[in-house]
Amino acid sequence: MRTSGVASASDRSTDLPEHSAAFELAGIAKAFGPTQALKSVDLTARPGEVIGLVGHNGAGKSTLMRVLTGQVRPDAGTLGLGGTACGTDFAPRAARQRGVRIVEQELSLHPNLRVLENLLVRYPGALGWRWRRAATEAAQNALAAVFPGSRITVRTRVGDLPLGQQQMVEIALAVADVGPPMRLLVLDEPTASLDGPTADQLFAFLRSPRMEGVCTLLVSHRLREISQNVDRVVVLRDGQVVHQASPGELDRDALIRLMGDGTDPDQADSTQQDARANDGEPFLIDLPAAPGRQITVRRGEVVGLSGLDGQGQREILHAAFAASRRGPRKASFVSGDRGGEGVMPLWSVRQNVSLSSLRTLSRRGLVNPAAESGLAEDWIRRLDIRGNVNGLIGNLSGGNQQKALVARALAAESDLVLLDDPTRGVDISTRHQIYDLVHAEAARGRAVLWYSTETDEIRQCHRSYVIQAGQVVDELERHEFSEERLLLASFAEKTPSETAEDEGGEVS
Amino acid sequence: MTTTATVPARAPRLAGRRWQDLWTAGLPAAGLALMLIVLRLVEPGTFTAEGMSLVLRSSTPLVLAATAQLCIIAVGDLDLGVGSALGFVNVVIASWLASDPVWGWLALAGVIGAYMAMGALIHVRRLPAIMVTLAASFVWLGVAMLVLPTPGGMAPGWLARWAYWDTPLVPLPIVLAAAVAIVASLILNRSRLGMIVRALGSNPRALDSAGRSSARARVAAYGLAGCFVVLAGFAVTANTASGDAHGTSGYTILTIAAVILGGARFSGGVVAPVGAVLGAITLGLVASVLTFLNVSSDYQTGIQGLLLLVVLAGRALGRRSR
Amino acid sequence: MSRVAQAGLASQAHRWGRRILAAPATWSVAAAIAVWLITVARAGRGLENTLVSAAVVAVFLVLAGIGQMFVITAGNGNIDLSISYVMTLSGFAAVRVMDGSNSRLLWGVLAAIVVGLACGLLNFIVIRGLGVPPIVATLAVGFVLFSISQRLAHSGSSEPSPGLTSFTSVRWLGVPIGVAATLVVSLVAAIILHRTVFGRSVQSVGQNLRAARLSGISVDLTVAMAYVASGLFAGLAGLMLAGYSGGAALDLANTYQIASIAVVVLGGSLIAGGRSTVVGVWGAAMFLTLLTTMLNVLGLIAAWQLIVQGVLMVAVLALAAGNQRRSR
Repeated sequence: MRTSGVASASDRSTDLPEHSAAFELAGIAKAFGPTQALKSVDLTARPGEVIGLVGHNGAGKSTLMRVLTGQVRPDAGTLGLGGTACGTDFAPRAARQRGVRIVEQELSLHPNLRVLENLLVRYPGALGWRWRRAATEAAQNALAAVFPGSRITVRTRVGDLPLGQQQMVEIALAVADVGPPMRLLVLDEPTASLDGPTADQLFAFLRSPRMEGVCTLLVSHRLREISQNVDRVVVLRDGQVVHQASPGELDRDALIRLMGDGTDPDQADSTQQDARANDGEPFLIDLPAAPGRQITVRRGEVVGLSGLDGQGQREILHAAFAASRRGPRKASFVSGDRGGEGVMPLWSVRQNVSLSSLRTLSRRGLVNPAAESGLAEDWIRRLDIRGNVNGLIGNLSGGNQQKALVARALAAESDLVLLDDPTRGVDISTRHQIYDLVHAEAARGRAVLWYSTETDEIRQCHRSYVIQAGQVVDELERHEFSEERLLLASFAEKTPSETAEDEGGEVS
Repeated sequence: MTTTATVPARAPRLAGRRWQDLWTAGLPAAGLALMLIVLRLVEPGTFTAEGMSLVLRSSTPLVLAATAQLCIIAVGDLDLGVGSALGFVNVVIASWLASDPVWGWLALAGVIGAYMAMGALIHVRRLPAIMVTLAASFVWLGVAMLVLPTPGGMAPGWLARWAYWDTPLVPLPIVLAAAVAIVASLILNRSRLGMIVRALGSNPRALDSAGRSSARARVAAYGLAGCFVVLAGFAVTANTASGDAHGTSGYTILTIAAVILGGARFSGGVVAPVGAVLGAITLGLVASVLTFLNVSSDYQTGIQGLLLLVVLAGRALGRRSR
Repeated sequence: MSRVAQAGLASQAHRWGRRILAAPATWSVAAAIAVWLITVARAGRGLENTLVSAAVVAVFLVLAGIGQMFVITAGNGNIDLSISYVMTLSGFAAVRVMDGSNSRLLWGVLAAIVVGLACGLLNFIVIRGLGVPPIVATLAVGFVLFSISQRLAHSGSSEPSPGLTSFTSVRWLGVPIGVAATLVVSLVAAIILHRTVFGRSVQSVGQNLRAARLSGISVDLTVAMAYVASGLFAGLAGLMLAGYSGGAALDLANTYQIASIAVVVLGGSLIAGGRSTVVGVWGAAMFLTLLTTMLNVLGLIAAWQLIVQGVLMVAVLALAAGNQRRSR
């Protein structure tokens, strides 16, 4: 089945002339602040081809996808779709008109509407006068085509469906035969909440006659999925395409090697002192997804949480923070999501820095302004924050804002410091200042639990846990650390029991 | 081990959700049934066609006004000026519509236009809907007082005749309430416009990325609300047979109560037109029952407040059992 | 020491200067001054006289507005629609306890305060316990309070103690005591908002709830205290209004439900929470009170007064919205 599908796809692609590329990217570059998300990407795809896009966290995959769908405007480079160039006014609407469909990780459904009604909202004006009948038919057809035998009725309200079925609806609506004909389908982790058989249905659909002439760009962290179902694997690293090959030419280990940055772990900065203390009671942190299991962090120790993004690391940090508020030993928290979980946008730098220390800065119930300024200025010096202490925090650059938030957390009297990817979108020199400070604070007897999506940062930790689906799948001491082992553990396939669990959940 | 732990945990959650839906939908109906039973015990004489017609007549304006409020809540906003707008429509109908029909109808069209303009202003400047509709309530009241400085005027003859039209079999207020419920359901739950309005209420970002103008949806929802306010004004005038700029100020709060009683939520675009209509009738019946019980009309506000709290407590109960 | 003090003073002066220039309250204060001057010019009344007689009426709005301000500062849809009902109920309770006697004045004051605190706590319990949007929860609580007020109203009438009545009208060095007391209370409120842990916590919750929680702020406690503060201020406002009006009546505080929100927002506080100003509440309360005076002086009938008020409110809102978006 699989081999015949691949064969037919390659037959098709050879039939088609070279100039009618499904999409054509040349020299695409995009920077967000100091972070160069895409350096220079050249990539061409033929109609009917299924491309697997792989890369480690932060390699630029999602930015590349968003360029194709018009959500991100590149700083440089050209983009062509179906043989014609896209102008500077290329926006999501124009992308839709030219047949680009996308399934994003974050579902775009309206939970208060039925499945068929969601179809209408997605393709307004494309369903004609008797839209309800047309939408019912189109949604039913799409579900039957992609997921035959699924028991989703199109009259169900989306919010009433379990997450896995919502994902199925999202996919089905994206490929529905409505509106401008589909030319390019972009799938971002489409199987994240699908069980094995359902995911197989999706991949069978990508090879079905309905998808003839449609190019598919598949992004997935599941390497087996990629190697079994695509015509070509494209490896992205540091905002560049570093390798392209047919999946048969690359085995799993080779892929993992290509995705890594190739640096030798011993070359990494290992000057950080080891101030781990064996005295005192270690922090025992419960794993919310694995009742009864715990991880430990000792005083003076910097412990990393690694693994693929979104595998339950944040939940562990939040659970640890919530637990600390009930206990005697306090924790402080730094989030890399500055806007959502960090910055107080209406306040000055001083007020932002002092927020977690107000109680110690108060005398007889009143915050002492001199003490507050003193604290803020002290931390501004220590972290080399550039900007006016009394100016709005929004006037600082992103990196300096992040430093102010680190200052807020470290200024607080806490025994445990929880870091949730604190250097997201921060330039390299700021990163190093944050690393040094974190290690200095650990040396002073604090315990640090650090979630990072970057291998380099995990390498800085004394010890690290690799997390998958909320469970510890590996534990590495610093001297055992290697990128390969980290990736191997991260990409370990799900155990059979977990697959059964998903299936059971869906069926019942 | 984990398998056995998660599988049963998921299934009842789904079932619990359905049960909660039933609870939300059944609550206003149960409230109405309860009020009818109480009414029957207190004043058996009302259970004739004329009796029902008389008792329910007073709730027709609230049914329509609550539907107007429902349209605003569907997009996630709130109209704190609906009572005053109703007063303006009332005085226009009681004074101009009889004496100067052209200006009268133009003024009524102006109400709908003003609502749409309000929606546009709120959307474009991203103003808090609560404050804009609140300020609008001052303007409505002022303009109404200009039109009719003191209570008075007279409903047009045709409106009075129509209001006392004896419908066969089913009393007119029930026919009207059913019609409102059906029309509102058709628009909000069945029509293309309704889908987009409710989509705006639940996930505005996804709506924008679908390329559908959310501004248009908000303006449409406000325009729809304006239409129902005008209809409610006709119902008010038919009941009172005169105009009073201040007479309807209490409606603002009552419409919110009726909509919430009916199972709508303030966010997420979750609205229930039938529930809102039932809620409005229930609130009207509460007033009648209290009157029959010789409870001073002064106490009605408090009892309505308690009723609202009981319903909210019931809803929280339904949520917690999930 | 002196150098430190000097530097502190200089930076203080610098801060004050900047604060006046960029203050969100500037708008409403300027509007109030403009209306004041127009009124004086048209009516030929004394500058001071116009101002003081407006202030005597504005203080009730200021007190109600400050309470509302604490709740609105907490953001996330927090709003208190029960203020007018709390004012009425506490007015009734105080007057009933005083029963026209000066000897029971303190007990009456205490009754108003207790009623206010209890109502604020009740609001929070309903919001948090039932998970109801504040706008409905406070309204429903208000309805219930109103029926209690009605029960009190219908079970006989009482008069406030003479001491309370004179408190709101008697002047001391030309300043009505009620106004002076409200100024002191406002100063305390401003210090609470800007200088205490609670004030900072409310602001942070209003700006970014998740960040506040992750910074160690106890969100529930903070929001609860905001509602309790609102109840307390409404209780004080009801007490003084009952004294001013010579007794409590059911329609004592009707207009304050809406007006308390209006003075907060017009004063330059953000309706979405996170930034508030007590000076702005004063400015807006004086603006609205003087506006009524001015429109009376100009001979505008009530209808036009309402229209002008409504239009001005939308205009100020639309202007302020630009700043709001920029700062978010």
